[in-house]
Parts: sequence; C-alpha cells; structure tokens
Amino acid sequence: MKKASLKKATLFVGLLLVGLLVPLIIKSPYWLHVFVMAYFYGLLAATWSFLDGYAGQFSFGNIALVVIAGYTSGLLGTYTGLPLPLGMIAGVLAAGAVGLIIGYLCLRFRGAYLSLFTIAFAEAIRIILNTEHKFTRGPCGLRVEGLFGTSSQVPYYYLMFFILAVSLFMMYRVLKSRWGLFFKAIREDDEAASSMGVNIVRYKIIAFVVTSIFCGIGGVFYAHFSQMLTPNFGQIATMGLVIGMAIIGGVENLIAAMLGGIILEFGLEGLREFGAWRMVLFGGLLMLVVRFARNGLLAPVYKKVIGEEV
Amino acid sequence: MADINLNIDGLKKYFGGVKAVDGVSFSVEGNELIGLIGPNGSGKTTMINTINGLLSPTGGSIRFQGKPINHLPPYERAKRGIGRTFQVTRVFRRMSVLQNLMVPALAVGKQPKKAIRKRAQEVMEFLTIEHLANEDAKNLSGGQQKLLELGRVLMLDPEVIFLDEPFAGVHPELCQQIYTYIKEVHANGKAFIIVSHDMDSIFSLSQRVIVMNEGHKIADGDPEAVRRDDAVIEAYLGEASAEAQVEETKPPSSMGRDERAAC
Repeated sequence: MKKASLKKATLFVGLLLVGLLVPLIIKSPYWLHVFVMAYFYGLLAATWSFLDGYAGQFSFGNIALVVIAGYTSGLLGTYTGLPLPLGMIAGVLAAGAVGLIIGYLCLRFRGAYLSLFTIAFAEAIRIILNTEHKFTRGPCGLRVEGLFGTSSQVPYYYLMFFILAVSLFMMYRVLKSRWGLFFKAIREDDEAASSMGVNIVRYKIIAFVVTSIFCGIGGVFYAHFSQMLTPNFGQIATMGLVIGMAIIGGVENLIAAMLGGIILEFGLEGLREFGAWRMVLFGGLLMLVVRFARNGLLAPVYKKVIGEEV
Repeated sequence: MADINLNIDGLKKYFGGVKAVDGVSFSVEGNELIGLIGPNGSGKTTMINTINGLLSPTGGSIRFQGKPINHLPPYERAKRGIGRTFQVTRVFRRMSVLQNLMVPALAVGKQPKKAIRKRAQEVMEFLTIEHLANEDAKNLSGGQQKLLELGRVLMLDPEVIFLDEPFAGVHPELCQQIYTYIKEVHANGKAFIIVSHDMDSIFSLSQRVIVMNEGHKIADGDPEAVRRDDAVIEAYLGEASAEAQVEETKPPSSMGRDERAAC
C-alpha cells in the first residue's frame, strides 16, 4: 500500500472510530443533537465541494434539493399514508430528478449566470412552499413522522453518522474514478475538455444528479429528524452558510469541506450566546479565508498530513 | 497508415457583419503536413474552432472520413479523430501533468486505465517532461505547457491534428524540440495542419501551405510556389513593396530545409 493510501486509511478509520465512540462518551441529548446537525451540515458542505470544488458548477440550488426531498417524503407520509421508507426513497428520487432537470437547463451557464439561475430556482421553491400553505402548512410548518419510536438522540446520531460516512465514501470513489478526472477537466476549461473528447453535457448532468441524490438523502433525514419542516429552511442564507463552511474548510477537498461543516456548526453553536454577532464572526472568518487562504484552512493541513489531495 | 480524408467545402463563419471565414474550401488527404498561414485576423483560428466544433458554421460543410460532422459537438469530433491545441495554451491548470494526459485517452475510451497510464508515461518521456508528472500544469513554463498540450493531443490519438501557434512564445531550444516531435509523429501517419507566424518553421516543415486573408483562402499549394504567390506577398507585405520583398523572403540557398527552421 502506498504511504498516502495508508495515511488516508488511518485517518478514515480514526474518524470512524471517534464517531462511533461519541454517544458512549457524550450523554447530553443537546450535544448529541448538535453532533447530528454538524454531520448534516458536513454532508451538505461535502456535496457543495463535489459540485463546485470538483465539477466547477457554482450552484445555490443544493438547499432547494434538500427541501424538495424533505417535503416530498413528509407530504407523501401526511397525505397518502405511504410507508415511511418508501416516502424517503421517493424524496431522494425527487431530488435526483429535479437535479437532472436543473443540470440539463444549466448546461450552457457558467459562473454568475449559473449562480443566479440556481438562486432563482431555490427562491421559487421556497416561495411555492410558503404560498401553497393549505397543502404544505407554509410557515406554520409541516409535521413529519420521526424515524424511531424514541426521544433518544442516539439512533439518529448513528444513522446520520452512517449516512455521512457512506455518502462521503461514495463521493470519494466517484471522484477517484475517470468521472472525477472529467469533472475537474470541465471545471478547468470545458471547451478544452470537450476538444479532448470529454462529453461535457453528460458529465455536467452526472455531477448535478450525484449531488442532488446526496442532498436528497440529507434532506429526508433532516425532515424525519427535525420532524418539522418550514420553507424558510431553504432560504439562501442557509445555502450561504453551507457554502461558507465548505470554503473555510477547503472547497476543493471533499474531506476538508466536510470537516469545515462539522467544526463550524460546533463553533456557531458554541457561540450561540453572542446571538447574531456569531454570524458576523463567521462572515469575517469567511472573508479572511477568501482573501488569504484560497484553499481553505483544512485542505492544506490535509495535504500536508496525507501527502496528496483527495 | 490510416486513410485520412477531411473535406472542408465552402466553410463560412460570420459574427454579425464580420465575415471571419468566408467560403473556404480545402481537403486533407492522407497524412499531409499542411501549414496554415495568414495575417492577424485572417480567420485561421476561427476556422480551426469551426472545424473542431467549438463554433457552429454559418454555412458550408465539413466531412471527415466521408461523413458530415457539422452537427457533431467537439467531443464527438475528437472521438472520430480530430485533435487540436490552442493558440493560448489551455491546459487543465489545477490538474497534474499526468492527469492532463490521461483525460483524453480515458474520454475516448480506447484502452484500459493501466494501458493509458503506461502510454502517458511514454508520451511524457517522448516529450521529456516525465519529471513533471505530478506537478500541477499551472506551475509549468509557457513552453512546457505547449509540450503538455502536444502530449494531450497525442494521448487523444487523432488522425488529424491542428496545432495553433505551437512555436509562439517558446524558447528556441524547446521550439526545435517541438519541431522534431511534429516530424516524428507525422512520420507515424498523422496529418497535421499547423498555424504559425513562424515562416521559417512553416515553410521548412510543410508539404503544402494554405494562406488565408480576410476570411478567404488566397493560396494553397507547394510551399515554394506559395512563397512566390503575388496575392500572398501582397497580403503580408503590401502591394508596393511586394516585388522588392520576394527576394528577401527567400531563404539562403546554402541552408537545408531543416536548418532553416530557426524558430
């Protein structure tokens, strides 16, 4: 085994062991809840790293896909009585299908135009969910069935941890395959990639669909974990938070972006007593990172320790 | 040797009122080595972009191996055997040299990954950039990036290779190296169309020279005949001084063809 591969395996096994041990050490339901949300944001930051950091598609649409998946599962459970696992699968598939459509519609968009398109899409979804309140209960919130017949956070913790670990592993495998190389080539120069034989239409759409599926998985989990969905979770500010987490961690490194999501969620929770000022601190940190550490704070550490990029 | 046939017939590319390429026709038969020259703004790069599929033609037809390819996107044309480099290098900057080389071969999917890696290694050795395999392309010098682009197009293994200004801004030693590589690859059966302002290299390398001016093809033929063509001299030097310059543009008779490729 190569030295870098050994280090990577050690890191992953180490993180896995630490993650598995957490509920045995932390007994506070509050902090377990924070852990679950940190993993959730870690997953979202990783999906954004996948789409923007590797495939070069700067999208604000991820949060809308989370919401679509959550509402699909929640609404199916509420109105059709569909068994919960089927509703969850439908939620993930809905996110994937919408991702496919968005990917197709955005084929010719780059940079600011793609961002504006996806902002408009995300806001449209939020407004529809608010406006159709007779069906969605709008800002009053849609009650969603829980996954486990217990108030304990532990089963949710392990499920989210499992989702995060498996999702990350799968995204990692995709990025290590030829698809990953094509994503990067498209990110660097899509015309040159196309001239070198890369089917940029296919791979841009694949990038959107893969991202959407993992956002969807996160979305259905969040819906049944929080047991209450409001359209405002899908606001651009939430997406801004996810993007900020990925950038501070290191957007071109899946693991660093994920760790950025986890650490910053803990940071924001730890600074809760500062109220809105914690978001000012977050914004300040983001500005400093963008100005002085374009690769984020954790990606260079990862590269130094492991010896190569993800 | 592959039976190469690229046929361009009445190709047009207009940008609003600007006729960048206006009814150009020519054919590439077999592994010809063609020089494509013309003053700045004559439509050379636009024509390559149109043949390669980055631009849609306003009119005319492009046929490759007897089949029309006008409607195909660039990646399909690349898979069918049309490769190119760019006037200003467009390497994948934040990818390693090895990754840059692997992309085209993986994309056309002709070989398994292990064989592609081996071939990439051979191409790097051929271009003497094997020591840069794991270096990000952005860290390479301009000349090394030109070599990498050449390597990338070799990995694509096309039948027809368009090289857009392969000698521009390159150190003379590296320039000579590129010149040698082109000759070697051409000897292996590939057709080349080389755009360059480096007249010595073009006239010493090419078996045939096409000259463009203001979107039109104004000459096409043997390098020596093209060099003496009045329309070509006029396009480059202006009518008044044409006669006087004919003698100046002649290479010294004591030099061999290859030696004149001074870069």
